[in-house]
Amino acid sequence: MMTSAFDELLSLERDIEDILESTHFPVRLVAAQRTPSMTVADEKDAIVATLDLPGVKKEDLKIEKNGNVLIVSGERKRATLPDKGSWLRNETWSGSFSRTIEFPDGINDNAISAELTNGVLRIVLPKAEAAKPRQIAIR
Amino acid sequence: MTADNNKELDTRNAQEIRNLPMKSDRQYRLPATDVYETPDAYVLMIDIPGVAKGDIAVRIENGELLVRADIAPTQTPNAVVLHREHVADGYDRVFSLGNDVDTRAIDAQLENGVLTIKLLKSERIKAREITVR
Repeated sequence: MMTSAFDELLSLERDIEDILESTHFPVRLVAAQRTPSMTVADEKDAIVATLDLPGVKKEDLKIEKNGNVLIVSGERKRATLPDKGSWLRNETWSGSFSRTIEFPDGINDNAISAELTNGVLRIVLPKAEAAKPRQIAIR
Repeated sequence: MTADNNKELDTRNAQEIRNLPMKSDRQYRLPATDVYETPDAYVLMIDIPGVAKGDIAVRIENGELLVRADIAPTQTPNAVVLHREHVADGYDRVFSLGNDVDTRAIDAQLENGVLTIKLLKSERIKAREITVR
């Protein structure tokens, strides 16, 4: 998995935010976070990526595969204000977003699956048999 | 929460959320929140991705709305994390309410990782009472 300099910067920004949050200042550096947070883990039989996509509907989400790269993109639409309504606070992000996940060789391309639950997209990239860890029997 | 004291719908660090179930060693973050007002109500939309319906605590206490939500673990214990951006175990936030909120009429709904809380204004109820002649 590649970590771009931009991701590093975002991570630093989040660290600063966390420090500010731990004080008694209710300060947010970036209320709107247009790059959805992502965690990638090796679950032995599969590589699993989870992305925070609150308020994003399934139909506004697209996952493309190009070689060893998955591109997750889509749009978060801002909630529509009812008649005679007015915003008091807007901290959530809206608009389009895109994230790229580079994965290693040995993924069973045809078995990649994705599920959106409680605002989290979970992409499962199952490993091909040859790439799974195996125990070698000793005779 | 009148026009003059919208600032009252303010928040502070929620470390001291009282009496809510709290698991030790868990890290909570302030969730991003949108708030709008209508003639009848205040509506809060709180981003809490990764939280299931059963893991949310919402309560009103001393003129404050307290929200705490726990994220269910997404990795199995044996997983090797290759890239981590998720650092929080949950979200918590305290919203100070003005005295125009009817604390008996609160509606909360979870959809696509967004918790929507509707707080009805009490003025409306008062107005209704006044119309009785």
